[in-house]
Amino acid sequence: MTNNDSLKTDSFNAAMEALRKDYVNSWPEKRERLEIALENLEKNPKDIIIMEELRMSFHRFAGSGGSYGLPEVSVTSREAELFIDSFLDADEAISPDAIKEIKNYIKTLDSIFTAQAPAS
Amino acid sequence: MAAALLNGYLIFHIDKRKKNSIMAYEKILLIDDEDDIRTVAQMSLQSVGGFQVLLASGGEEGIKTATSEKPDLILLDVMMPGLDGPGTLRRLKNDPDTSDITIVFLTAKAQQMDFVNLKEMGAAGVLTKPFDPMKLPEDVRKFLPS
Repeated sequence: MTNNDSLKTDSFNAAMEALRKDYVNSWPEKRERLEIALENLEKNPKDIIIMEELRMSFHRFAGSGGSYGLPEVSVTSREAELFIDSFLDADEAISPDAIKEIKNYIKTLDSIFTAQAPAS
Repeated sequence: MAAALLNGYLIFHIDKRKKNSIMAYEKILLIDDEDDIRTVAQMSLQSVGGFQVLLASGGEEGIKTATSEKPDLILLDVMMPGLDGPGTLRRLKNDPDTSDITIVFLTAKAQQMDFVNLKEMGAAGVLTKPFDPMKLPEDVRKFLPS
């Protein structure tokens, strides 16, 4: 590896680490949006628009997590996305048990992100 | 901090390219509604791949940018609110001004069936999210016209 290559890799790693920190730090705000959408869905379990919104949020995490070095975020979010998809595909209202399941996905994501955040 | 580091790195990288090459930078247009994806893909494509990167957060904006900027390749998200990836591709392929631009889908859905369907729509290929930022430029380069 040449000095230039080494500098390139170091610079990339530093930039990537900074982006990863920003990604982790943005989690509380995103979690709040997920929780609000879930509360709305609990009140309106047949609302397809809210279901779509929630599914899309998990879809975004599924696509981004691994690129920021958090593959567990992608895996968990993909499961949550498919779980909500099954209700949309079947044109079914979200049941109270399903709400609990989605809460668990959010909890899992929370524990993954919290483990990444620096201790304050 | 990320932007400062990124900008610092880019200045270094672009200066290096200018010294060593008379080639114009290949222009990549990324159309994706997700901020986090645009951020990491831009960093990857610029700093690792040395591409010029244009960004659009939706299909309509992407079509406008593609028409005015004529990128060498478009990386196109599949699931977007409003005009989605397939709808955007159809519009671009039906317009003589943009029909020749290579389009590669970038999708979080990675089932084989999706790959086949997306290619049949006229895409040159399909790349999956999440991607490795170190490898994305190499994967993109495979689809660039030589």
